[in-house]
Amino acid sequence: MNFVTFDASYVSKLRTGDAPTEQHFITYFSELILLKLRSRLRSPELIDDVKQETFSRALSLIRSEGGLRDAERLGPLVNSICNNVLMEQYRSSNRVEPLEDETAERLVETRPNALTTVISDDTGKLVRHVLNGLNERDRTLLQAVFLEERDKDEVCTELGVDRDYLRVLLHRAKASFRVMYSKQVDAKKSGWVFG
Amino acid sequence: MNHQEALQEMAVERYLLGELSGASLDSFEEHLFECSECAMDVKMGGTFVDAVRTEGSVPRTVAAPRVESARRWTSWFTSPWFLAPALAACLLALCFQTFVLQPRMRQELVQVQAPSVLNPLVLANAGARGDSVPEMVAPKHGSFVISVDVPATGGFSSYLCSLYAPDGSLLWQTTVSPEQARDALLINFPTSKAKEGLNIFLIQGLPAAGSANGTLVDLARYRFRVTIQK
Repeated sequence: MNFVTFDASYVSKLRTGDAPTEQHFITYFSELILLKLRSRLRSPELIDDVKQETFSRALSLIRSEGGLRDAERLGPLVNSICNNVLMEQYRSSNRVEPLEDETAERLVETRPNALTTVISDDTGKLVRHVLNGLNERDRTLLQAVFLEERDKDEVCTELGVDRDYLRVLLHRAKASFRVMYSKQVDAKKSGWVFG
Repeated sequence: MNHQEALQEMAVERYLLGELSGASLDSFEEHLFECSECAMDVKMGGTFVDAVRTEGSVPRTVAAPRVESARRWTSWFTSPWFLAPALAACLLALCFQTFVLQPRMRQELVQVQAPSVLNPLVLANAGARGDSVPEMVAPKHGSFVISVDVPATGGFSSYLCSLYAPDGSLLWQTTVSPEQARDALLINFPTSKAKEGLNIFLIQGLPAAGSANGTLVDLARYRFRVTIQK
């Protein structure tokens, strides 16, 4: 698992237009922006527009004189710019409700999106493995919430659990998936190097 | 929000479940964009959730449709609409076999096994001249006996006896040696193989090897009428 540290060197490379660093920057924050926007925008085109505009403004700001003083604030800067662009998008769409009044739960994007479409067969197998490792009730709970998108309180009541149980269940399933995913990635890397 | 708070509040799970809103959502997202650990956790969780959706919406590769269709096909046999008449037909066949066929067969078997007096139809010289036609009344279930004399003519290696039905078809045929031909032949003939009407019994001689003509020679032709007892 690669944990990224955004330091002065990283920001300096972004300023000078270092292609690998810029590519990493876009890849890393693209996924976060997608996850952030899909609960707020329904249209994939709008999501893409906001994402592109966010990167454009972020890179311009970073490359401007005195644009980013503290390298560790790179992430919050991207988030802040994304919020602004999103707000402008809402305004241009004549939305009068401020972002804060829209709960994420009401706006969760349920259709297959960019992330869904890139899910590989291997990832699908891992998820099947994780789901098969759960008992019937837990499997039903996750599928009812994420696949059938049923009301969470209703499903929890039906299955005799509470919302905390649902969070812990998701945490455990996610952790299992993460471990298997990491092993798979490591195996592929070693196979690529030595194979 | 710092990382410790995010962990304590299970912010990643709440975020993935869409439970955060307002200030708590903003606070977590600000942390998310600066904490690579939470970012990785959310990315992994997002992939998992999306995969659950995708896996659930894609039909499983098990042969469920085939099983379903097979079950539908075989269910036709187990439906009451088919089973009830089938069982009734089986019961009817069983009753017919038990109360009709078996007693009849038993009776026939008893008749066959029981000693009985046979009056053979003697064909020696009968009908040879065509002046009279003897008649045999054959039992419906059983057999009748024909007594026939083979003309004592020498020079044949064997004799061919043939029985022809009224329509001219061959009913039965056998070869008789000269030794057998010395006495009258008694032929037991099952009624089921016989045909009512004017039958013809033909005796032919097969010339011995070395003779000039090897073709069969007609020695006797007997006519008799068969009537099957009703």
